[in-house]
Amino acid sequence: MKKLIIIPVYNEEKNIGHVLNGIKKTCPDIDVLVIDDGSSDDSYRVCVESGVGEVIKLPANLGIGGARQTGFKYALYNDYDIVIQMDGDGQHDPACIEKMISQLRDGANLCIGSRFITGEGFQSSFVRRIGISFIYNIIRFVLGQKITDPTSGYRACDKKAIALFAKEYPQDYPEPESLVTAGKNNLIIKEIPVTMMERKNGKSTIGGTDSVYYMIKVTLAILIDAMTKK
Amino acid sequence: MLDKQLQIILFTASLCFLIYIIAMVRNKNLELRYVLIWLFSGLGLIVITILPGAIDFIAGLLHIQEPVNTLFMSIIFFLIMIIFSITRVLSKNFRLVSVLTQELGIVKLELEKIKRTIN
Repeated sequence: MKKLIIIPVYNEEKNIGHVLNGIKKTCPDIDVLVIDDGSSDDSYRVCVESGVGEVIKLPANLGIGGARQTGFKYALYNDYDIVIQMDGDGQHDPACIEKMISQLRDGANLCIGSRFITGEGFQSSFVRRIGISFIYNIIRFVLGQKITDPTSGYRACDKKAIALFAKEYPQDYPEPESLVTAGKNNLIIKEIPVTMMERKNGKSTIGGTDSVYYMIKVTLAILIDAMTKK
Repeated sequence: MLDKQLQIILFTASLCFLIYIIAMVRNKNLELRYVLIWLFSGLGLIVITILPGAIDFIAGLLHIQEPVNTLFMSIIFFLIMIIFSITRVLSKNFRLVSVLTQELGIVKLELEKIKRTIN
């Protein structure tokens, strides 16, 4: 089975080296692809010099969705069986990868690493959890399935999911919306508990007034997606 | 009734504008598919100015007292249509640019891998 970890990064020079080393130590047999989304800092050089996996440098900044979709396309072209998507800020513990892959073996098309099932590790801020629970309810309404951590960017995808996301993937703030895309295309979505860590350096991509825009955009996108026919 | 002087000025301006657009398309400076909406708007204005009764008719239909307001409303209508068409084209271009950027990134990496195996 060919497995690939995809990590989109945008100006993460301080975190990405640490993330890559962690992956190399925990799962040295899995290929790694970093997609540098047109960073203006030294992310690309840090990734190349780490010697872990391959690095795609996008010539322009597409946003996290466009960058991650590049990874799915690469996986599709290179015939990978499993893609594990992680964030480049060190929130995701590579030790959980095997657990997620085993869910795919048991028949899931998409496995999400949720920080809220057991409630261990970094639980995000209070305001964010309110936002997440709102999105949880909309997705539950649209898909009829409970997904406790719809904003988690820590996921494992099988071939069916890879092919779907290579073709169709939301461009900005893609996590919740891509669940609807998956659900509407009859993918089987499962969740397992994972422990997340707080990001070490730098700020999250969403904060302040952005979060208002985030909530409105994600809500609308989910509702519109729910209306579109396959 | 629309003022005669306004009518003549509008007609002349619209006609010049149409001729200019067609010339631009002929010189390949503009893409005809994106210019169609401008052509229709220009033609619409010309029709309104040649047939003064048209304005009065629309004004009566919409209960607008001053015919000149109907003229303004028609122009605003054309503008909204044009701006919307731009948003549509922009969205399409956004998709195109995204796909190109993604594929270019992948091709660059594949090229890099080939170079590595050769050296």
